[in-house]
Amino acid sequence: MTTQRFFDNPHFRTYVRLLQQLHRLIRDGVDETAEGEVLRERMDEPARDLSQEEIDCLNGISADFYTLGDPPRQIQPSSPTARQEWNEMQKARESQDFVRALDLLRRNQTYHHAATVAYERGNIWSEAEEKEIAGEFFQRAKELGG
Amino acid sequence: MPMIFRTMKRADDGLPVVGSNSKELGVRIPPNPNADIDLDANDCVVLNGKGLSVAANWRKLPGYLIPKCLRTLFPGAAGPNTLACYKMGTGVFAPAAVSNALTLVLKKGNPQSGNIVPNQSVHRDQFQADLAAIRDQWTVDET
Repeated sequence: MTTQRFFDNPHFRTYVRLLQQLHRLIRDGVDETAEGEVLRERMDEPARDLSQEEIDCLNGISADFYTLGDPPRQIQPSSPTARQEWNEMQKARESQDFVRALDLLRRNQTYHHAATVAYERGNIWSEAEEKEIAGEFFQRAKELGG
Repeated sequence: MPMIFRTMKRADDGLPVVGSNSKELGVRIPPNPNADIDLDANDCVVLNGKGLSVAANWRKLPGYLIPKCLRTLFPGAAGPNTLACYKMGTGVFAPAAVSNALTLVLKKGNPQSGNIVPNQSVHRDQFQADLAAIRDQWTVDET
């Protein structure tokens, strides 16, 4: 197992790119096919070299990918804590702490318009140099923003 | 016996499918590029910690192994719905015997996951048979 962790771990980045492809198949309703099985088998190798903390983070990211296809949730009334965590999320992104930024955004996504959340996710993935993933979230923000 | 979890394809009788393909009760063998074990020149299993992967709880698994039908319980679930989460044993997730022929070893760097390995180096067919022999001890647990 590599000593590099999360976004500095090449296995983490390989897994997240494969996960993005898997979610495209899920959205298209074709993941339970031979293509989907091959893709999931390809995920075995990077998954072997992940820590439990990295797996937990990637499972959260998997939930984020579902928002690219799910209908937007109803917005909940915000709170001082939620506003504080939103600011912390933006600071975490600026300081390139992408794991924390994604986690804070996920925890507070119900307090904001889905287009705003998708746009912020796009910003985080863009800062993380995952332009293809960022592009999907920016596109989703555009769709939701009408 | 330690409590262990693994997601596997579900057979018509509700128990896991036995086999040497992905997500079956059995290991993938070289030259499969995703082989779960290494073999020596006599096709015996090399005792290097590799084996049938398991976890301390199904919620500790990567999402692509957890069936999508569990999304309400586990939002990152992205596995096929042909899989089920199986459990066997009742003890602490720690290195210990799983059967007379099999042992749980923990993975380096992740004490929440492990591999079931043979107690001693045996022919690959014997290892597959030893894994198949515990089939009726697995029960579906998706709580």
